[in-house]
Amino acid sequence: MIILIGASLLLALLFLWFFIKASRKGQFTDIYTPSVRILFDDEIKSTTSASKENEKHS
Amino acid sequence: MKGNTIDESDIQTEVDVKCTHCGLPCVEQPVVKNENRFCCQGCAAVYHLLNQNDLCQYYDNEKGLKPETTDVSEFEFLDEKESSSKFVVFSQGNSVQYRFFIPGMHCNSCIYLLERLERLNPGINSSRVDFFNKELLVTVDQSSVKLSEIVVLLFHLGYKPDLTLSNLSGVKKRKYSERSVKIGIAGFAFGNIMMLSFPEYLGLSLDASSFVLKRWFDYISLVLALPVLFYCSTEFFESSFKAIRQKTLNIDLPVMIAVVATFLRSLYELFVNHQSGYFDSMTGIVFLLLVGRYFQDLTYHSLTFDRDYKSYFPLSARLLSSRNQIKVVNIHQLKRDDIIELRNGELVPADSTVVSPFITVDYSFITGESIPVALSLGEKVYAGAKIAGNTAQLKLMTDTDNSRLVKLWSVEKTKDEKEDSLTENINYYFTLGLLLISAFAFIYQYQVNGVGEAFKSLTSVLIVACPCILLLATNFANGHLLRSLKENGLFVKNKQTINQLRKCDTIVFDKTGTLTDNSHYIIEDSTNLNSSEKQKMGLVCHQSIHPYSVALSKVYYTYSPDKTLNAFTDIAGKGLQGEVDGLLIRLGSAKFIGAESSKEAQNSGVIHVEIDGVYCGYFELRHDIRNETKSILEALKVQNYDLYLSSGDTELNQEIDRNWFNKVFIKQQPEDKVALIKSLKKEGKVVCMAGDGLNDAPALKEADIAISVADNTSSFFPACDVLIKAEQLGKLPTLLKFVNAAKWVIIISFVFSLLYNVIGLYFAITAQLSPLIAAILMPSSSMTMLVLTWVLTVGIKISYKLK
Repeated sequence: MIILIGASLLLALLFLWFFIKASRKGQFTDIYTPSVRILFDDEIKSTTSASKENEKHS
Repeated sequence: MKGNTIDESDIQTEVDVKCTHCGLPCVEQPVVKNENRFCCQGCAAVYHLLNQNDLCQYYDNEKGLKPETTDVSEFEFLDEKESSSKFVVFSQGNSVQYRFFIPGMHCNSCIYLLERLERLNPGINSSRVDFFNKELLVTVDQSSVKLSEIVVLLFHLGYKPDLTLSNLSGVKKRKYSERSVKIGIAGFAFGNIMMLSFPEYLGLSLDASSFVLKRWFDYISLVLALPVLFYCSTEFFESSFKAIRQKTLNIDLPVMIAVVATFLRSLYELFVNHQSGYFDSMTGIVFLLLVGRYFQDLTYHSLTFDRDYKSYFPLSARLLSSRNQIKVVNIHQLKRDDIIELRNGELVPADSTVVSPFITVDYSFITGESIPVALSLGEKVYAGAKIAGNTAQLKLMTDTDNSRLVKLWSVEKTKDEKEDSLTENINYYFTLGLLLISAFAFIYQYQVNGVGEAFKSLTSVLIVACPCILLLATNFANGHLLRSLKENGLFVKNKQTINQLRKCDTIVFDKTGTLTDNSHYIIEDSTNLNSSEKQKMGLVCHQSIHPYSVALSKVYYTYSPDKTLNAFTDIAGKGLQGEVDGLLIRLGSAKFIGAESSKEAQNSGVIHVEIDGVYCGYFELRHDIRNETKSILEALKVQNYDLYLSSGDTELNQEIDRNWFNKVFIKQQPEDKVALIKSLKKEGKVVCMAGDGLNDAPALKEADIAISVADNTSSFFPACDVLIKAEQLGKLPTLLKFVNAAKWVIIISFVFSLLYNVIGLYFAITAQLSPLIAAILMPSSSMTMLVLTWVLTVGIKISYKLK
């Protein structure tokens, strides 16, 4: 029983840690731009630069 | 880039043509290129640039921004390390990331274009937009592109980065990410403690073995609550201690007491009574309050951004060193007695004396008066003057830090602080009252229901009563109002001004630039020139940037390749001359032409013409009154405003009807205008002065509200509370009505928040409200307030048919 509680707490802590890490990286500072960015079609010409950009930011 | 490929012969004249780039109507002759019409060369250049790079998807949603014409050398100072370092986020080898604040960013198309900068300049590796903060992060290869080039590119596209002195002094700190971590931890603790408290909630009867387990649950809850107390709620502690140190109280103090009281009470329950504590309530309070603050901050964030109206400061200057070498320096580094060189169109950063033999400046930046003034060696030039014509050398009389331009800004800042102190006062008394009520509730409940209920009502009272809702009511209402006004072209400095506007019952108008339109002249032709001579004269006028010449060339200049101009000279402050087809054409003041004997010699708006030594008469130029003038004045009269006109001119335009006003004053000196306002104020009236010039500046200062009419929002207007865009002037009466009606929004929301507080306190004192519910109620009431004020404001706005 005690082990189960410990396990659940550990799991929750793990998610908390992920959350803190993401928010320190600035994932929640701008929540509007990504929603727009995804909607622009990549034109043929820009494919190279767009993929370059993706690599950098993923 | 420069748009020199545009064929000038394609120029056409049509009236209601809209610019393909910026969507604004083309006032002057549109520039035509590839069957697209543009209002100016700048727009055409941007379109051309985007078209070449296949970026025309930009126009799918909205039109572009009209670029301002700029001189590339203006930004050279940015390449110096001291200036550029303020924009650098990080640098590694050749790769540097810069951060810019771009207030003009407003729609999805902006994001589209700004994230594709790498296609416009190969030196840019990538660019990312942070739309929420209106920031642009640009990663560049330092060896192939300079900071100034990026800034120039942004300028050309119409996205003017904010390079002002205040923003140069460092990038703003961000609390948001820190707060979201706190919210995360508090939420985590809150959720888990609730899970562990489930047996308690369900009221299960426990046998011996489950009792041991429950003790474990309680101890784990304690451990989970510790980071919430010591990390997440630190901002409440810090702010309340700071307030106590300054010998005042603020709203964070009751919150702190509530949190600490609940925690201590829980420890007591846990270790002395061997019961579960109230850790769920404690963490819940902190979590919900933090979430509430987060949303509150989001709102304030958007409101403060809306309050920034464009400032326009000079940033760099060309310093002339002792060895006659020119160095571009940041404006901060200028000292007294430095000699600087300014080119056409640049602003004088501080009061100085003229070193060049002869210069012309225009004070339109400060005064709205666009006719240049001639100054000679040794005369004084005031800060804010714009150099017109030849390059000028000036010697500074003060350091730039002490200059009037900088001072004007610091004056405004102290006004803002005053506003804060008012808020603090309300905070102080409310908090004090709240502490007394909670003490009363505690004692009352202790005597009637015992210690448990007493603690419960203490914490509920402290949390449910929220002065912020009282403050927020007015803040939100005014914030929405300011934003709506801004959308309609009326920029109001702060909340106090809105209150003043409601009380205002008298409006004094200045004529020039306020009721008249400075950008348009009526030209009365009293010459005996034939049309071909006029065309030749137009060619001469076309070379000069003096407003009169521009006005004349607009009418008389037509492009013809077979005519050439020789021996052109522009004698600043006097006139111009040039040779066309062998004819020497001279235009200018009576003195310049030698026509002092003519009766119109005294009037300022008169241009005399001489061809080959023969006097040919004169043109008289007058400002036209604005189209809307009549309707505005009539509407204001219906709204029971007392209207006065105070003009410095010797006679009125014939288009102005004296019956529009209660009284008309002419030949007014600046002191007379001040005296008029003073006497009106003595009669107990709240006076609003609408003016735009240096001659109005003292009167604007004296008036309760100063309104400036701006033909161009990037101009700098000292001592004005309200700025209205010239093209929106017609809406002024409606906007004033709107401001008055919006008073009801504040009254309604104030009553609402008062009711909320009274009802909440009643339940809290009688211990019918658990602290947790109180903590939910508090932020949700703020949200309700936000929605309420918004709905009311929009409702009123629609009823007045405003944007």
